Amino acid sequence: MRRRTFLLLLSSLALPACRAAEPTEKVLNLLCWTEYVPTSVTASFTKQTGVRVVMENYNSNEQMLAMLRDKPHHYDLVQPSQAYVETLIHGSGLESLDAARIPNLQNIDPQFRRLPHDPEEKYSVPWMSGTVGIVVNTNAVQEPIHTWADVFSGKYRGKIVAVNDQREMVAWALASLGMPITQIDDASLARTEPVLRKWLPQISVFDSDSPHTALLDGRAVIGIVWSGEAALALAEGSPIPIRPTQGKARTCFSIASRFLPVHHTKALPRISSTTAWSPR
Amino acid sequence: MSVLISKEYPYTNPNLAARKLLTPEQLANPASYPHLDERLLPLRNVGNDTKAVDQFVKKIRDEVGR
Repeated sequence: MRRRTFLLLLSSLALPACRAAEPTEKVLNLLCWTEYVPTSVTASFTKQTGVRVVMENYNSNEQMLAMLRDKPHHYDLVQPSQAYVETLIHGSGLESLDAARIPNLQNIDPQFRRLPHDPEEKYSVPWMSGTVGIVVNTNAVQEPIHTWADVFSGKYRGKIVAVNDQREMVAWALASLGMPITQIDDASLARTEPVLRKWLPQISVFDSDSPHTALLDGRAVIGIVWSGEAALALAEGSPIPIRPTQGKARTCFSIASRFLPVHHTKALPRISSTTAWSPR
Repeated sequence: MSVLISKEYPYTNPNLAARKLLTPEQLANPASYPHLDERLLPLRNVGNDTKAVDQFVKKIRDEVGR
């Protein structure tokens, strides 16, 4: 049931945009995050539709925009974080969807539908949602980690892995200062500078592709990672008691992403990533 | 299909029909399905300031060797 659900959703989006690489072959050019679209899914899609999927990956929204600029009119579907959906809409980079051809949207949790970045749901549909949070190897870290100050106290220098995302680093620093994480101006950046100068040298691994790996192989004992990566660490890490921090320590950034067609690409503005949440 | 995605990349699956087919262990993973609370604030689009953020952080990283 669900398999059909997703395939209908994907094929409804994909087929109108497919291009013929050869007279007998249809190709879907898919631009998506690393570690986000299983090859089992694209293989099943090809098996059921006959459409070959050519997948290219990126590990940041900024990279995604650059790839769109580098190959205008090339990609059929792209998978930005939701704030970047807004960017692409404003940049007239998207073709609108035909909702009548996406009947399985009814299966999507209402809390993920008609969000502010695309209130009429004209250009995007949900793929997955996530957060960025702090995970701790409690074999190596006995003390409670409740705040950013705990993470970057200096005790764990050289044992921290973090996603390689500049916008999020600034958001973490702003959150630690009790400032709005969307307040980006010269004054707010200046406030974060001493924080980042203290924090960044303590991070030993910057990895947006598979940051949970550093937790499992021991290169890091604290991670600031995508929630899906944290989930993998939790699932694969046993008996390593990696746990997500709770309460005040949890900083969550949504990476709710959307499949949507890219029809034409003008010069696109660079805009922030993700819907994000951050604690004080 | 959506279950395949959750199995390999266990983010929060917004497809409620798919969620019914996930295992109790998958649904109990606190990283996949966290309890969000009122302290979590949305990060919104900051427009062209993103470029300024990129340059700002990259400069610091260069200077601290990270």
